[in-house]
Amino acid sequence: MKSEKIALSLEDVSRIDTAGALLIRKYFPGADMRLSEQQKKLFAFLPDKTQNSPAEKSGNLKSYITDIGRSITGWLQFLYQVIAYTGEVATKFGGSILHPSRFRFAAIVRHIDETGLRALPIIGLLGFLMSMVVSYQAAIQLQKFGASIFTIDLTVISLLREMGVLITAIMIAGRSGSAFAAEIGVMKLREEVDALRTMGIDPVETLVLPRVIALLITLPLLTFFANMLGLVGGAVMAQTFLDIPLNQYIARVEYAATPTMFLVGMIKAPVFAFLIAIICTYQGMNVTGSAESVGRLTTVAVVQSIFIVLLVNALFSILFANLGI
Amino acid sequence: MDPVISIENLVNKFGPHSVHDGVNMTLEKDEILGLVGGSGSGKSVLLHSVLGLHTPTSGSIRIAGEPVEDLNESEWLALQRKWGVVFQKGALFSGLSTLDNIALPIREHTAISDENVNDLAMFKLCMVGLKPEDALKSPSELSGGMARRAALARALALDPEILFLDEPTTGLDPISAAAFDELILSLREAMDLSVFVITHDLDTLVTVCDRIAIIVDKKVVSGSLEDMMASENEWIQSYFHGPRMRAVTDKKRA
Repeated sequence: MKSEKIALSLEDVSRIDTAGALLIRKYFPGADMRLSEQQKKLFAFLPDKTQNSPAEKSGNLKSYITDIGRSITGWLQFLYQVIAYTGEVATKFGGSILHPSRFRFAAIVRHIDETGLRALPIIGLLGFLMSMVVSYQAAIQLQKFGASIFTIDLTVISLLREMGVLITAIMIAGRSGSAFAAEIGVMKLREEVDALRTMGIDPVETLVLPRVIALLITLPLLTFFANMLGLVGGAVMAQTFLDIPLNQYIARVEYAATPTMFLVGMIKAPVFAFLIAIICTYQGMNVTGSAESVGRLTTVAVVQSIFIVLLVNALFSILFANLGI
Repeated sequence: MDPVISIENLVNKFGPHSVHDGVNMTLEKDEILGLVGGSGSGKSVLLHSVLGLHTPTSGSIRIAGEPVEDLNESEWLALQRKWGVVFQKGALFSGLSTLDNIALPIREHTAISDENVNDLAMFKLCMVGLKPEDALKSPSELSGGMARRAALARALALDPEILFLDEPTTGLDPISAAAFDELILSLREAMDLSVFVITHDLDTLVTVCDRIAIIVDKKVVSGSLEDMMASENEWIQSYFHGPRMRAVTDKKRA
């Protein structure tokens, strides 16, 4: 059957929608059609032949290899840019030290309030609970050897050396780091950062530096707070689960927790604070284009800063082990 | 014939502050109605009330003869298939390609086979003046005008009877804006649409709209362009006799 022999008379069809028109055109190409005025206008929109949607590019070996190469150069570029950015922040910091009036004290105080004071409840609770959990697990194992008293040593050492600072840093990366990236990202998106630049105000000095300084101050303090609440958690566990009276617990803590051990934990806090603040503000400054990039880069900022914190923590462990601390 | 949309005594209050106080308005079949009003006069609230995104304080809204406040869930769903909405900035789903954006309502609401869904979406894409090679672009790769067209294609995906446009030409260059106006006119003819358009664009108002509704003093006044030009109301006077409006109407007369 040849299609040119077909004639369709559609004037009396009361309503044809676009899907119907498309199917008629698809199955009766080139048919003679008698149409009403309105139908003619609808059919005029139809393409001469159905447009196939362009096929998506499928991956082959070459594209996989180029993808790998691209992501590696991407990482190297990222590393280079972060180092350059760190340098920029450091220079601005140095400049501010020479001219202390350029420090934005109001902004620094605001960020200390937001990242420090308001984080106290959650950080305290976290320290308290974590040390209770560790203490409980340790107690169960050590009881088998009749060495319950060492539960306190184990809890205190792991808390002060590693856990206190780590959970604080991870919590702050999630809580304040994400806020840094999102706040700066939104400002970048709404051209507020460009507005600052055109007014001759340096965005690194006004937006980044106060956040970095605030976190450098608050993270060590929060770590200390988490450590103390952790010790309280240990005390509660010792009293209720191990039947160790408080004065004995305190004596044991004094024996186990040497100043070096406390300092080994605390020295990491400002380093983590710096890494978190730098990475998160960097990703915030990197936001371009659409609102979705704010969400994406905020996630990237948090993941990267937690990753870096854990990596640097491992490096610290190696360093301290080699130093014999 | 019954109006497609009729709004009676609509009141919208936010706390003590009222935005609408007794709004009466209709959208007739096959007409293009332009809604104008100053910034903050409640154009968007009115649109949201009609679309069910905002529950009005009081008043009744009837769409296709049915009072919307009495509809149950399945009736709402049926009603929602009768309209298409183009939001101010397009509101294309950023995670989907342009073609998938257009195909989404068809996939969700009909049992059409995948192949035909794609053909239909491609047709809608070409219908609004986009090119086949734009199909796989993500919304962020589209220019403002193209994104607006893609959003229009998505709104038309299910062959609606009513089309809502929220400031469709705002932020477009004059050439794209004029082309968009043309497109609305020819689509109305081809697809039998009733169109409700919120606009600040005086060109759109003069060239496209059959009737104009204005929000003044928390109420809606509607009529033809000539009625509006002749109105005594101070705000309407200044709107339609401002220098920008004169330029547009002179151009039309010339």
